[in-house]
Amino acid sequence: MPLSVRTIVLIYLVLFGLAIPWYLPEDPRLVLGMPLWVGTALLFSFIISLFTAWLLLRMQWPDE
Amino acid sequence: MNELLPFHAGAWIFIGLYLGSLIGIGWLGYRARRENTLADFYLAGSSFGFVILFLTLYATQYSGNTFFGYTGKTYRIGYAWIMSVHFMTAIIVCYLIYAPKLYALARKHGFVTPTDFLQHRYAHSGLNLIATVIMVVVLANFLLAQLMAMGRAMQGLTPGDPVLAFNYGVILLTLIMVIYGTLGGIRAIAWTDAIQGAVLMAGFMILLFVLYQKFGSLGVATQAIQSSADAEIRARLAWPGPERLREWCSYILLVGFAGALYPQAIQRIYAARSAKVLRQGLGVMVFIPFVTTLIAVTAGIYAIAWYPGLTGVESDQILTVMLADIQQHSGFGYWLVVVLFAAALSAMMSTADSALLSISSMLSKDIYAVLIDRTAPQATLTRVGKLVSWGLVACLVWLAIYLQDKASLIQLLDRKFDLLIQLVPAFMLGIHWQGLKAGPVVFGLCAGVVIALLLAYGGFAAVQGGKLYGFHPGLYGLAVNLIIACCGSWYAGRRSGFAST
Repeated sequence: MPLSVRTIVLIYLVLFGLAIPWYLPEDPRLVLGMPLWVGTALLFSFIISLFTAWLLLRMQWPDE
Repeated sequence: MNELLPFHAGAWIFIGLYLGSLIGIGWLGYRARRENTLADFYLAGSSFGFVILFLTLYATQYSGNTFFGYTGKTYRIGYAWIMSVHFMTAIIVCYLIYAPKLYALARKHGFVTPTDFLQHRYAHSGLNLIATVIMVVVLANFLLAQLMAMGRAMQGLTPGDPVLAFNYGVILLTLIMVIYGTLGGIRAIAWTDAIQGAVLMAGFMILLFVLYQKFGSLGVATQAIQSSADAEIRARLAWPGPERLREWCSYILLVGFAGALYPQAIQRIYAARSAKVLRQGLGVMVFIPFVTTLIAVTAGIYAIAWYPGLTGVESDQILTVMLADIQQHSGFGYWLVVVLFAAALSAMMSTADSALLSISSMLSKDIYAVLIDRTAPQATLTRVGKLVSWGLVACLVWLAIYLQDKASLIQLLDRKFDLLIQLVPAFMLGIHWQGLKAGPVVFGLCAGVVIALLLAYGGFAAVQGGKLYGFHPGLYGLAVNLIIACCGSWYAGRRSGFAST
């Protein structure tokens, strides 16, 4: 089922909102050798990349 | 020790062969031309397949600044520069807003420059001229930053006077770049980009490998920072406060939107062989920040842990300092640094050559052919573009030499995006909303530029570190720009609606 433009925009807003670690307080724990807030930011960044690649590969462009 | 050991003859032969091969490719590009037209010289007749398109997008988007500037910025602010991964990803996300429709229009109407779209959409000579001037100024700024990075890269390698090394480095590398660029046009640049992109990717991988070999895991570096006696160093590990988080948000918006509007990137959209090739190229590009920007940030973290003490403009040299240390350990380390140096040169030259070609296309097609000689044949315009490249480069080389050690690379980066983002309504909104009118777009654009520059250079007390409340001046300009463009178009639409009823 194709996603509407509104849904795509909403998904991006949520993902970028979660990629910026405003909701993580100071935490001394390390994940993969980096602070927890850095690991979380990278995780959501990777999800954004996956979602974008998925959109690019399945979307039909106007001249196709 | 903060300078690289001077390269031996073997290393210079390797780098000389690499640079010589670029001119050779320029010659091949010249031989491969099909016709003496703007579309062939600047877009290679829209014939780029997946591999060339991906590598040229990659080599163009990741510059010398990614190597030196991003490592330096991480060194200054710490892990928070992980935001660079986000904003480089955001560029590809923002392509989704307008690239699909733009590509179809470009194929249908034979666009060569970004202004061709504006002419097709608005047919407003004032808008064309203002947008072209903004894009040329931005690209000239970008080109200047690359030339300065080239000079800095050469500075540490040559024994003797660093000022002379900077000057001769800038002149020699720019000369090579302008020769292959004006010989073979976009073909030569894309083919050299393919080589430079491959070398650049290898360089980033080698950098990661070398850092791991020498300093151990990232966790060790993080713990070393955590246990530092210096509170300022420990702060570079800390969770970013509200001001830095706003800056994070600002960078995503600013670089995401403005980066997607780089004229040379728009021309690569035009140059794709098919929409499928373009989709595939962008689909791979969206993962590239994880193997380039993230590695530069990682290098910066290692630097905080093991090379404390550099400040200001010096901190942009931190990667050179680290490489100098690695170079002294073994013959293997020495050759790794030689390859890394070639990769850094690749990054700078591939970004600079694309910017130069884009400027030349706009000055020739959008300025000369419109304001000076409307009847000029295509061959003349191509020749004018080449002459403009030489003249412009001569001025910028002089400026780079004059400005050396006067500005940090990141400071240069900030202002060009503030200007470029003002083109968002004209391109990204105008391509979807037919109700957007040229007049309000022009007023909005001018207001946006004035506000962005006023906030950036007005000396207001509220503007701290070039940002107001953590947000870049360009975003405030864009907000006003959008309001004027939308409200003005809506009002004009209503008036014309009343007039016709």
